[in-house]
Amino acid sequence: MHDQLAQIGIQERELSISHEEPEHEEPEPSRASRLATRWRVLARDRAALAGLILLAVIALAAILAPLVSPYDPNAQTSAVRFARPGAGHLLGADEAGRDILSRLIWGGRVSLFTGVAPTLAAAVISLLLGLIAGYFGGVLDQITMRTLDIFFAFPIVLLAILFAGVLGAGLRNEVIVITVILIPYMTRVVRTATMSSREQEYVEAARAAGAADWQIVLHEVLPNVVSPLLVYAAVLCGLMILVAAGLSFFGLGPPPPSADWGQMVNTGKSVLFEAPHVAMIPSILIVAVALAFNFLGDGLRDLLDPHTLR
Amino acid sequence: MSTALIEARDLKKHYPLSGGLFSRSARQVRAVDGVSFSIEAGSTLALVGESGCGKSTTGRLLLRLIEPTSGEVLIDGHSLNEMAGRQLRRARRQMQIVFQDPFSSLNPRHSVGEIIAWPMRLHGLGNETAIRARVRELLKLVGLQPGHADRHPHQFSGGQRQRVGIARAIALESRFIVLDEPTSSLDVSVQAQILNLLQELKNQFGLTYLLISHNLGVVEYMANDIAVMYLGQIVEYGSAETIMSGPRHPYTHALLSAVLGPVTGERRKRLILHGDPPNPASPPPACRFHTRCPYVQDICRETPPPLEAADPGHLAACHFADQIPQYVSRGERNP
Repeated sequence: MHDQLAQIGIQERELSISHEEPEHEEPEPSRASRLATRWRVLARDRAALAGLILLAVIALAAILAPLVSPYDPNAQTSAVRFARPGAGHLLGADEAGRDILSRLIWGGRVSLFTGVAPTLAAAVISLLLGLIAGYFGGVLDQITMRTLDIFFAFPIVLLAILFAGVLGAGLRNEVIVITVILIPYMTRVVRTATMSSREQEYVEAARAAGAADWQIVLHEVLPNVVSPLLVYAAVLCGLMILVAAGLSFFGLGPPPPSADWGQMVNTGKSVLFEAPHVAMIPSILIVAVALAFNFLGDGLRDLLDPHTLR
Repeated sequence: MSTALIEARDLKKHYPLSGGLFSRSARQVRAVDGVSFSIEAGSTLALVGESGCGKSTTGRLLLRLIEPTSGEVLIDGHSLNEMAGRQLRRARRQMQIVFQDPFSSLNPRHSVGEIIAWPMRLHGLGNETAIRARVRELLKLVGLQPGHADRHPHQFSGGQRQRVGIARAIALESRFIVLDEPTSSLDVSVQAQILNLLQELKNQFGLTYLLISHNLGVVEYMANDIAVMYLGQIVEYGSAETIMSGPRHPYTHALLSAVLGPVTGERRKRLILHGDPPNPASPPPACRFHTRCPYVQDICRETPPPLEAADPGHLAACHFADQIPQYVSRGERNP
């Protein structure tokens, strides 16, 4: 016995103390306290918290637009044309004498929607495509990815304009266009995460336990795919608000007079030198929201990392 | 007692080597090339060999985690490879695996309790309350605390993770467990604890093990029988005692020479190999070991040696199994 163990490089003394690895009983964290931990992680991340607050305020204002907007966003008052920010019109008025703050609040409905809705729709479709392509591989993977590669060959905005041109302007088409643009990018993220998860031994363990492919995909692979997708989606939300603003800027968004941020920049550009605030204020908001989504995405990545779940 | 629980019959697994999209590939890697053995219920067979010799592939073939190119696996005399659907699922309940890497083998997104409970849920073994109670029991059985069920894998050390992997493997009350290098990635002090745990579980539940390892110290401690693999084939097979004390194949001799151990007074003739093992895509003809064998003769390059009895119950695939210098001379051992 001693001889055998010595060959593994183990002394008898160590064996006699074996079995129980030194262990100190710690109180187990409750579900509530783990939620609290998650919240602390987010709160520590100042940028993510700021992003979250900004987005919450804007979303709330957009939802409650009829209650919080000081004016009718489409009411034109020629007396206040190009009014500078100040009393009466907090953020000034545009070339038609419409209150900018009210238009931003109402426009938030459109702009947030065109950022978030296509991202969610694309996320669902991409999950399906990416999981199948990544998990099963082979011909299915080749067909899916080579098709999507065609889309990668074109710049996003060019593709958006192309589709919008074919489908025509309008809110519904804008959402469809942005969804289509997003699918290749998100599918690629899902597929990559799927492929790396599929190679892990826990998938083999699941198969040894008698799990079918669909059970392995749902129970073992999906949880490892959702969080990178969520992080990516948060970042893309911001980018898509920019794209939506761009489409509106080119007149491919919802038709006037409905307010949306991109269109406000568009109409403001003609008076950029006389009344810079008309274009600048919505531009700043667009950039701020895009940044907020980015920060939130970074924060989510840390939050969803299982290693932060202490 | 001498009933074979698991039997491998001429298992082969060849992987095609793809040369690119448009080139047709005729070449293939013969990862496992005609392996046969059987494991009696309640015993441990060790598969030994250097990395790349096909021992892990053999373990996965036994569980049908990969499909063999040819050959079959019998469990209780029934062909695992002919099963499908419900029958296959039932057979899978009988056989589990413990992996080498305690990091990749536990899903980082699940709690330890979920990891251990899932196989039981898959097979519909009891309601949630019963499964939760069983998880706590299993955790205690492998030397962890019941309260650990809510933690995630990253909160554990390598040894503790390996215990979780073992708990998962015994959750279904399987009879046969493949241990794929279960201690290779652990600290030496923890290795002994895990090996003891595995032995205890084996005694307590009458488990049958296939132990895949390159560590002959571990093998000697655990195994009843040993099969030595080289380039996808078994070159020597016998009881642990006979192989450890009197190997008949020069390759086994070399493996034993590589074990670090204290000087025990026995005078052992060491055999040191040079060079890397040949590419399994183009194994040497005839005896696959002839390129590295110090005793090579012309016949070794011309005729593949059959795996045949050197002594009763002790098989070796070497033309000169009876003639090569002995690892420990018999005269010294039995004066």
